[in-house]
Amino acid sequence: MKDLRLSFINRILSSYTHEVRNYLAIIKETNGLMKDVIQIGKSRAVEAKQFLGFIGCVEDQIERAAAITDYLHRFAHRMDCERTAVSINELIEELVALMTRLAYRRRIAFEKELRGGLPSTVMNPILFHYLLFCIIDSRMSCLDRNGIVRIATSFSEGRLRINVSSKGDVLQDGAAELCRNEEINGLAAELGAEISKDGTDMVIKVPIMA
Amino acid sequence: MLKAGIRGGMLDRLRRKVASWSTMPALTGPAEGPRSKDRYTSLKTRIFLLIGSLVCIPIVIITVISYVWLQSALKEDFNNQLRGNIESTRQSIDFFIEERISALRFLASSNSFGQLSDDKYLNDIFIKFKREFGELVDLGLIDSNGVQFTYSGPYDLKGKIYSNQDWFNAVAVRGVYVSDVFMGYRKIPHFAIAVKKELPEKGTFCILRATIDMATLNRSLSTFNLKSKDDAFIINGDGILQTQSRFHGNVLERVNIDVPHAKDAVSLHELRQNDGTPFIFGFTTIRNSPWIMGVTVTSNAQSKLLGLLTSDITAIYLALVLMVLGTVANMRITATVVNWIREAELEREEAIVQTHHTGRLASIGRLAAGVAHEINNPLAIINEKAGLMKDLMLMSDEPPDKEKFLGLIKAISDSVNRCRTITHRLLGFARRMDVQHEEIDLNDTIREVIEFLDKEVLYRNIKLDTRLKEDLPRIVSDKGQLQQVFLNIINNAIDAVPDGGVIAVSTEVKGRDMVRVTIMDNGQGIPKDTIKNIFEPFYTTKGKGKGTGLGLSISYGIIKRLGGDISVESEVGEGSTFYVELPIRTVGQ
Amino acid sequence: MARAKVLLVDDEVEFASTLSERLNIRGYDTSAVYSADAVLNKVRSDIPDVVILDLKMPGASGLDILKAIKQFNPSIEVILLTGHGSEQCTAECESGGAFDYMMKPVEIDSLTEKIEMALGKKQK
Repeated sequence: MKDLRLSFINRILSSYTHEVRNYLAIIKETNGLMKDVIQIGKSRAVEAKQFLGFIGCVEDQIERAAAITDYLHRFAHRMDCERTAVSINELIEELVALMTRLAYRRRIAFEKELRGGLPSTVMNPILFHYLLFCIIDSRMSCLDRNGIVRIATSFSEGRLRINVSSKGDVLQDGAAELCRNEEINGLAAELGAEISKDGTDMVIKVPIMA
Repeated sequence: MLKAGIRGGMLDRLRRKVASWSTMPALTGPAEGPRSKDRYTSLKTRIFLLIGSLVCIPIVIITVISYVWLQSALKEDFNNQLRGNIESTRQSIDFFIEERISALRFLASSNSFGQLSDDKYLNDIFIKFKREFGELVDLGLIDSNGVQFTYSGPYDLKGKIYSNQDWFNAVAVRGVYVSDVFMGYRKIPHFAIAVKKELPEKGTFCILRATIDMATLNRSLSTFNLKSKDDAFIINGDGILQTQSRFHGNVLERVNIDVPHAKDAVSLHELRQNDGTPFIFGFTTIRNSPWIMGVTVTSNAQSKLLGLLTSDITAIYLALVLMVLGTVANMRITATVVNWIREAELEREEAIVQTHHTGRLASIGRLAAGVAHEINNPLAIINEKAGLMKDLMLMSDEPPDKEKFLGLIKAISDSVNRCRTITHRLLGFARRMDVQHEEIDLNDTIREVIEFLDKEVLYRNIKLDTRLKEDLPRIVSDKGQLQQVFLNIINNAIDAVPDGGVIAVSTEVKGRDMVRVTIMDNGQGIPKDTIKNIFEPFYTTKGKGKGTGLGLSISYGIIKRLGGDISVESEVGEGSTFYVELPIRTVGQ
Repeated sequence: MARAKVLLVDDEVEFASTLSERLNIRGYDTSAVYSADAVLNKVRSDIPDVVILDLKMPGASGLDILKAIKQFNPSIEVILLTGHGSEQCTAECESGGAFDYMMKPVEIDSLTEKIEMALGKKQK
């Protein structure tokens, strides 16, 4: 069980590194292009307009790399504390950001509909990350290319409700099997959460104070 | 299509992984292996024996004490009983002889010499006497010259001269005499009683002598409560048997027992027969006679005790039932105790694994946070360089200088490379967290580890000798985990050798499908009793606070999980050799 | 009016030098130091109006340097640069008397904005 968690972290880290490497690759290429342009150019001066375009591109990549790095940083610090007050929406933002590369490899996109003003909950954040990771991962593996995994949060009956649904060509319906999965249920129990199936959607219900 | 299950899903793969792990030794290694099973069995045996002996030893002691006590009590009781029996038999013989003597004395004193010297009269008395005491053989009167004056009996002994016989003189002196047994003319054992009758009117004396059949005394002896192996007999002062003995000789033969000096009181002696069988010899003198009555008893107190025990079947059953119940209770207690120990150890092992994992999680957290921070710095540099380029173009009046730009571009390029190195490291780390089977060159793997330790080895002037076999087949294994193991073992070796010591690492092919790595050092060596525990969790030979004790047990777990084996040979003072054997191809590949 | 003096403290030489050049272009009298040890000497010899300080540097914690600067001259405003923002960091910055903090990589416009705000606070 614990080793599976390590394995999950491993995949998150891989996803992050791939993401960052892509941005770096773009910066590198842009940079190389600037160098080429300068070396080929005849005048001593630099073509301002063309270069501003290159630089804008580099800055974009920097911004994106910094953003994902910030997510990684936050995710990493989720392991500091086993029980703490967290915002479910923030946890989802982090995880979805870090999973983007995993999803992109399958040509699957994420959609989020995170209700603002949700109360925070006290729980083990890395466990929640793991649970949500497992569910999203299984949803993704059920989807064909160009599918969408949609994550929505809401508050009902005194509990936070996280809805994970999928749109697109469904290869198989793993929801029922997922509900029966011991690992998933064990995780949910540890979190004090409840896993259920709503049509083809997976629903996680998390109490405010687990 | 819809029912196909999430075969490709991560959960499924993870589940399969867990299933495969459950069939392999746990991370903590030997504690779950067959060795630990043996350990619990031997522990069980030891606890069982301990409890058993704790219970049995007092019982045995009490049994022995009571046995000895009972035996001595029984022996005393037995001896007293025997003494009583001998005493009462002796009394009856005493009485018999005394009665005969009194009767003869009465005859002597109530009849005048003239009456007694009359053959007819004597014959009358003889007949009367014989009627009274059936065992009388003959009766005779002997004058002071030792001549049988008158005789009444079956033989023609009238006129026989006894003056030269001992008994005649003895009677003349003592007045009464009981003779030893003699066979007589009829070859029947009998004895004689003689009393002296003073004849004051003549100033002389005569002797009245009666011969008595020994059968009577035999009968008296047979009143003794004889068991089949017991014997009662009469001997004279010289140890000649006066009566027939069952085991100790015939009449008039010497008894085959050394008879100590007899006393009036009954004496009991414990003796041994020629074949070693012990027996009790009881004896006492018989009054008014030269005789000693002897009794030998083979049945003794021990046999009596044994008889007492064997006769009580219920007691034996009770004892057996108690023994069985005791054994069952002992087994139950042992099983419970061993289970407690096992559970405690399992809990501890789980705690270790837990700590290990928690530690790993936390370290991954730290590492990831560090990476995030690390990567930000070069990103910030790129950002500033790009920003400066922009500034130069937008904010300065002159068109920017190409050389300046090239410098900035190089700086960006360097920073990008820095970022790539960091992400590369992170990726490598992430990959190494799971067992990742890949084709690896074992020699390269070891070389990398040694490179890592070079500084320490150099600093302590240790000679690190590598004999890596060339064209070693590539193996399919987990490089990261293997490096962890080799690092651990070589580190231990570095700790074990003195400055300037030697560590030799070699590789070779073993058999058809294994490769072997040998790590040998000339360090302090490992004591024998340590070796058997060396792969167990928490076992450390380093000083307190130095080693965690987890190193070798984790190494063991890793190697076992990789389908290999790890063992150690060591000689104190000479050094240790670790062998790591690895399959060239892992199972299922 | 004299140019505002800005001191940039970061062990990343490339970063600090480039940023200081950019700030110079934007009209600030900017200098950079690259080690924790050099900061206080520099502050003493040439009192800056605003210090831009990296929180994580080898040798000393940025917070300690912040406190030392504030102790030397409380009127010097310090803007902290961090790898990442966190609640803990915010609290520490406030307790140490920092003017504000920013995350790397910084957007030059928001940085100059912060510097202006700090200078504005100083003038009051």
